[in-house]
Amino acid sequence: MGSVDSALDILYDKVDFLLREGKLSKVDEILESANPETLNINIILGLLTTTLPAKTKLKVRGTFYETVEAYVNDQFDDTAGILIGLK
Amino acid sequence: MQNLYGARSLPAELRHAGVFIFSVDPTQRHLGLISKSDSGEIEWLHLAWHYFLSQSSPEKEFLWIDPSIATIRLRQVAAQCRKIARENAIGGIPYAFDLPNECFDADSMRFLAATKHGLTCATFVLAVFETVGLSLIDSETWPEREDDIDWKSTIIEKLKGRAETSHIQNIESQLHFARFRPEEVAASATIAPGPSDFSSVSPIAEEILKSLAAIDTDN
Repeated sequence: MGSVDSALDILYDKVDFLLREGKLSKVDEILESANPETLNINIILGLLTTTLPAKTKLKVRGTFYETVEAYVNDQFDDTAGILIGLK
Repeated sequence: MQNLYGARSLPAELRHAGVFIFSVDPTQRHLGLISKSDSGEIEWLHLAWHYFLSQSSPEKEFLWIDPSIATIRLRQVAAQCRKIARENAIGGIPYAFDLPNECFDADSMRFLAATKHGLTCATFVLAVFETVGLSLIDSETWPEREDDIDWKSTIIEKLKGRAETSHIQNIESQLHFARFRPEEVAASATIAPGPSDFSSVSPIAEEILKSLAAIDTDN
């Protein structure tokens, strides 16, 4: 399996584990430290996707989404569809 | 239809994730998900029956749909398929007629949510897309159809003796829930990102049925 997919599998398992354990502050820490300008966009979208079920419980996810949205609008020509449903 | 393909083998053109459909018999279709990793490894995921989440490839010719979804998001669909396969390899997912919304339990963070009785092959596909933020259909626009109630009654009869009595009682209360037919869910993927209403999906579903019938005639 390629490195991006392998990284996504680890991310999905890790975030899922933390959410199930109720370690929301730890997930918030991860989101707070995730920088769209230095992380692979697939990992950034993975963070938004895996935290979607807990979006109302995470304190910084809304801010993280806005940061990602600004990055996507700045870096991608065709932004339609990249973030749909992830807010 | 540009993003509907016939195939006897693995679809090389697949962008991370797609949907496959084939005819089980002249009255029944089956739907599932295909995903491809960076290394080109193809994985299949479909709810074959009660507590039977299969990762087997179809044994007959199928159609597959390249969803009208950004490639970058299809990679997340593929990741979610792998995650659900890892989680449900043992135990699986029950077969029932629940709506495919809120299948990821926000409290337990588990798929399938404890509030759900189960899914069909078609609602399983809808649920997977929904968990990654992609709602393919507007379920409120789906009609209640008499022949869908007949189909559900047949399924319930087949489940008797295989499922617990309590499960049978639960799904008997779902007879009047809207049914999302496999060809309709396949059609919704061709016009994603949704959610698409029934009137948009229905004519495409008819085209898919014709394509499936042509395959069966050729074979």
